[in-house]
Amino acid sequence: MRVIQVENLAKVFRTKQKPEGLKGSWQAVIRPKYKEVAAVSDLSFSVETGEMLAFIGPNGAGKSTTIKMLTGILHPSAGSATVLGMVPWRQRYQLAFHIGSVFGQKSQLWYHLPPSDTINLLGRIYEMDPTELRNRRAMLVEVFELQELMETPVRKLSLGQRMRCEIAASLLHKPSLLLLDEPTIGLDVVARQKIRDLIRWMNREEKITVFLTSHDTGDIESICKRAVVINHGNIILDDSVSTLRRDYIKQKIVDLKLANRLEHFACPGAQILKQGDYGVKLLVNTESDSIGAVLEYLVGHYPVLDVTISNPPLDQVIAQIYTAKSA
Amino acid sequence: MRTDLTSVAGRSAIGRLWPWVVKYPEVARTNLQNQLVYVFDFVWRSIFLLIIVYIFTQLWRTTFSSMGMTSLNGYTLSQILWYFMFAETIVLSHPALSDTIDAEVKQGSVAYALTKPYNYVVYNYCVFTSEAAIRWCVNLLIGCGIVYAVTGEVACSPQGLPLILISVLLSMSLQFCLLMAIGLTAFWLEDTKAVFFIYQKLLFILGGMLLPLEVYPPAFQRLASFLPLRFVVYGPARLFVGFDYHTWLAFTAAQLGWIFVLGGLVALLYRLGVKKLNVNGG
Repeated sequence: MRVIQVENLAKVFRTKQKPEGLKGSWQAVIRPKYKEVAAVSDLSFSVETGEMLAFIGPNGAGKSTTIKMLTGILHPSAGSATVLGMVPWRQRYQLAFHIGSVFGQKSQLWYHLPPSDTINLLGRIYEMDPTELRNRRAMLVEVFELQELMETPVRKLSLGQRMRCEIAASLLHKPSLLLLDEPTIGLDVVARQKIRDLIRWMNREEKITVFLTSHDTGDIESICKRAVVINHGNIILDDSVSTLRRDYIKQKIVDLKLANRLEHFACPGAQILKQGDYGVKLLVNTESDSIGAVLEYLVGHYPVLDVTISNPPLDQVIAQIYTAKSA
Repeated sequence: MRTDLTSVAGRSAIGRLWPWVVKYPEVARTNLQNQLVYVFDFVWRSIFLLIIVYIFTQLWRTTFSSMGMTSLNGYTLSQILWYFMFAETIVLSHPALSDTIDAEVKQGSVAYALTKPYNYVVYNYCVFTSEAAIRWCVNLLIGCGIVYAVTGEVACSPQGLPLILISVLLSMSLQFCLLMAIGLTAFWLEDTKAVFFIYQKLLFILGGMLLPLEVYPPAFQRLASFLPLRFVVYGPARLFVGFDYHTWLAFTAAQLGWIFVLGGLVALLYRLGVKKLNVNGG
């Protein structure tokens, strides 16, 4: 069954223009001028039940506008969409019962209260039966390891703990579709991995369809099977994450911290991006060079204190997609 | 929880109403719990009440003695002070709703609220009234203590207290409608703070916070009679110092009428605002 079906979806916003200066301000008051901006143009894709889709793109690409149309907050200017068989902007209230959402930068937990209070309130908001709420809550507490956190005010939780509670709260009403917007933003490596594991677990156990937007390529690689890349409101790539990884995420960034001051530095198979007195940032092309061999060389030749390996920023990956497409 | 994907329309009238009976009181209950975290803040803030009541006590005492008055437009000195205290407790109990709504509209948080199965206006009503209620209780306890200590007498009507409580609740509902309407204008205005500033000053004067409306010149009284503001502050405070059933009935009918009208305005502004959000983006 198709959870999301989008056909030729478009959204045009009208934004007020103001010419510069005082005269311009008066003009904007007396005779306002508007400019039409196409946030999303002719978008078509579908998502099957249980699929884990990464919906990615740079800032201003049209991701949020698309999510807002899929949750019924915005009406499209053209095209059609159904989510779980419902037209979101006509059946927003009913649809809300079947969607869970986590917005990394917007908490749904009451800041001064423990998560248990918000969870009980959400149980009422989603019109859950008290027994069902109790059972579901107990299950989520166990899976998300929230036993110690349930009675602690949210303001006293770490960001990673809070995000675990956020995701558990968004899964309380057993949604069929989970919308995740930057769920790991600001988290450390361990917390990030924990969140990714939990999302995968919920998808496996409850067949929840996951619709993820993130700027972290690590999230996309470890959670999703398929990626839809959009920019300027258009889909520029709709393919499997393994293809995306194979064709576009070919580089790794290695951040090295050294115990001694660096005099001369060289490493075969790595390109120096930035060099300081006690650290160096390297770029490794994994297509031609093995990351293992590079690390082995570094550890063998330099007094390594710490090493971090990360993916290139998403904007860089998208730029590569553009270059490849235009070539 | 609704496990099927059917619409609400398929359910019976009771089935459709039941969630309202449990859902929104739970919002109010959760906010009450949240407010209890701040209860010492309220007590601390009540120092302001102490100062202002003391200043006005001195002012009114001087006025009464210098003019050789025993009453002013039917109010004794003691009644004036109890009136002022009661009016202050109401005004000081109102949360800064218009600022909150303004911020939510500007930051786009209102859009996130739309992804949850609740009515944004009703949700905010529950949050507002629960917070106002707890603040008012704290203010009233402290206010009564201060005025009793200053005047040494109780110039209020205890027989009407249960009905006065209804008046206070309706005044909070009316204030909610007015503040919500101001907050929702953020969909069109760059800054609603100026509107709120003017509204607040009007409430102080034409709402009868500083003085009972009977003390004003007839032209002012006429102007105030056209506005809902007097039912936010003056109505409950006037009943507190001089309760009579007929006045209560008239005030309650007027409060309900204004809540109906302004509630309709809020619903309209919200609909238009969400429509505007749809045109211009979040």
